[in-house]
Amino acid sequence: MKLTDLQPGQKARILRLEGGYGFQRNLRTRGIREGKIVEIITRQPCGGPIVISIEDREIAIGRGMASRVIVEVEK
Amino acid sequence: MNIILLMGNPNVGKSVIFSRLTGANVIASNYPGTTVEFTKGTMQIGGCRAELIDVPGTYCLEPTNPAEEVAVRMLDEGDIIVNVIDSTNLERNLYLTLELLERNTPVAVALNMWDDAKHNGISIDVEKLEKILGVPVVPTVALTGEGVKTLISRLKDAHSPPVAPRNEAEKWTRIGEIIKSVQRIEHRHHSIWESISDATVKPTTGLPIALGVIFLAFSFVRFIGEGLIGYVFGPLFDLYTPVAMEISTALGPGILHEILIGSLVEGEINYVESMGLLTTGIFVPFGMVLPYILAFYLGLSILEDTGYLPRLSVLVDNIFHRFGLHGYAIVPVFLGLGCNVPGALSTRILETKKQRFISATLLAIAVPCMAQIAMVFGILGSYGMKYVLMVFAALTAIYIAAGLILNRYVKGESPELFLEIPPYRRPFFGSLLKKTWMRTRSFLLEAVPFVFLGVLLINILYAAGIIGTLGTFLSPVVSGIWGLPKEAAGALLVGFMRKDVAVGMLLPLGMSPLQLVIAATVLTVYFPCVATFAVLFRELGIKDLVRSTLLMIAAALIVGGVMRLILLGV
Repeated sequence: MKLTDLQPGQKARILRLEGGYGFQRNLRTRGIREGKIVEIITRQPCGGPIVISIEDREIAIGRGMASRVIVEVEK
Repeated sequence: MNIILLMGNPNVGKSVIFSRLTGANVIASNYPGTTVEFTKGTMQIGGCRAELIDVPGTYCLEPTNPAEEVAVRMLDEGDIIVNVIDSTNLERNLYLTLELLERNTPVAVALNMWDDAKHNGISIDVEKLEKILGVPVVPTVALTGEGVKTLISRLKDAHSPPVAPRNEAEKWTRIGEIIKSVQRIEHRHHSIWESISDATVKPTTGLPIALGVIFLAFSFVRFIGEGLIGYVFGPLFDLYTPVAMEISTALGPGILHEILIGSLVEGEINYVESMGLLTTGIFVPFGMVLPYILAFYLGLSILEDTGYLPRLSVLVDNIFHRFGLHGYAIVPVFLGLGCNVPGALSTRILETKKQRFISATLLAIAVPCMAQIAMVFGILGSYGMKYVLMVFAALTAIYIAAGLILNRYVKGESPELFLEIPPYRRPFFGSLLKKTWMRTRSFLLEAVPFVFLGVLLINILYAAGIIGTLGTFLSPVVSGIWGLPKEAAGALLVGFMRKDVAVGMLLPLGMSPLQLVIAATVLTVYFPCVATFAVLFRELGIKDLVRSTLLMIAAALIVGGVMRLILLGV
C-alpha cells in the first residue's frame, strides 16, 4: 500500500522507500524512514500535497513523492 | 579573522542564534556564481573579532538543491562549525551532525529549543551526548538568549574528533544507539497550538483562515506604510522642500532646471507631477515606495518566523503546481503587489530555472505593483469600482492563462512541494528587524539607482521630443489592435518608465470608461518598470530576459485585442 492510498486520520508504518538513492536519503533525512509511524493529517484537494505527521513533526509532500513511500496500515 | 559557520537543518532557529551573536553590521549577499543568499556578520569571542556566517539550512552534506550545494561549499571556508540542533527533533538532526563530525573542521553543538523540548516531555542527557559525540554540546534557547553565552565560551573547546566514516545505513544505526542512550520521552497531551496547526493546514478550515490572514497582512502593510509616510517620510520631505526650492531658484529656467527640478506647479514643487530628478525622482522611491517596502518585508518576516508561511504554501500548492510552480511561489506574488523589484528578487526561493522563469514572467505581466494599482485607481476610480474590478479580474485571468501556457511550453523541471511544517513559534523581534533591514537594504542598493536613471532618461527623451516620434510609430498598434485613440501611444510609451506619468497623459484623451479599462490593463501588462527589468536581467540572464520580454509584449497585444472584442464589441 502506498502513502497516497491512506485517508486523513489513518496511521501506518513505513515499510520501504522506492526510487533512487538520493531521493531515498532525502526522505530519510527529513524524517520519513522505514519503521516510523505516519499519520495523515490532511490531503489537499485536486492532486495537492499530503500533510503527514511523524513523531509530532508535520511534513508536506507532493503526491508523486508520496506514492513512492510504501506503508502498512497500523491496527 | 576566524570564520565561524552556523550550520543545521532548516527551521532549527539558526537565524535567531545568528541575530543574538551578531551586532547591527550584518549583510545578506549571494554566494558567488549562484542565486543562493546567505547572511554574515561579525561577533566577539574572547576579545577577538570573528566572522559569523549563517549557512543555508541543509539536511545532509550530499546536496540536492543549490542552497545545500552552497552549504557544502562553505564548509571548506570555515574554521569552526556551530551545528545548531532542534532538541525536539534530535534523531533527525543528528544525521547532519554525524556527517559534520566526519569532516576535518572543529565542531561545537548547540541543542537549541531546549525549553520546547522540556515542554514536550523530552529530556536529553547533555553530558552523555557530549561524551558520545566527542565535541562540546550546549543547550540553548535562542529566543530568550539562554545558553548563548555558554556556547560562545565553549567555542574554544570545539574540535574535530577522529571518527571512522560510516555509510548512510550505518549512520542511522548509530543514531538509533545514541538516541536510546541519551533521550527519554514522556507521554504528553496535544497542545492547543497543535490543534490550531491542524486547522490552518486542512483545506476546509485552512482556506477561510488563509483569506483572513492575507486580509490582515494587507491591512498591516497599509497601516505601517501609511504610518511611516505620515510620521516619518512625509515630515522629512517637508524639511527637504525649502532646499529644493533654493536649488530651483538658483538654477533659474532652462534645460537643467527641467531635468533636475522639473516643472513647478503653481510656482511650487509638486512631488508627484514636477518630474524632476531631485523632486519626483527622489520622492517616488523614498516617499512613496520605501515605506510600503518596509511594511511588506516586515509582514513577510512575521509570516515566515511564526511558521504560517509554510502552511499557506501547502494550501495554495495545488493551484501553483498547475503553473509549473509550487506553493512558495505565493511569496513573489505577495511582495510583487508592493513592488515588483523585491518580488523578482524573491523568485530565488524556487529551486529550478523553469520555476524562476515562470514566476518572474508572470510577476512582470500580471502582478500590479503599488504604483500600478494606484494608477488603475487613478484612471478608473472616478467612474466606479466596477471598472477597477474589471482590470483586476483581467489580470487574474491573465496570470492563470499565462501560467497554464508557460508550464506547458517552458522546458525544465517542476519539483513537487516537499517541506517540513515547523510548529508555530513566537517570532524574535531582533531577528524580524534584522531580516527586514537586510531585505530593504538590498532594495535600496539594487532598485533605487534604476528608478533614478529611469526618471533621468525619460526626462531627456521627453525634452528631446523623442517620445512623441516613437508614439507616432506605435499608433497603428494602439488604434488598430486595442481600439484606443492614437494619442494614447505616447502615454503607453512613457509608462515603460513612469506609470504615474502615463496616467496624467491618458486622462485628457477623452476615452470611454471601457477604453480606459483596456488602457489600464495594457499599461499594467506590457512592461514592468526599468528597475524590475534590471533585476530580471540579473536573475534570469539576458537570454531568458529577452524571452520574458517577448512574452510580455505578446501578452499585452493579445490581452488588449481580446478585451477590445469583449468590452467594446468591435
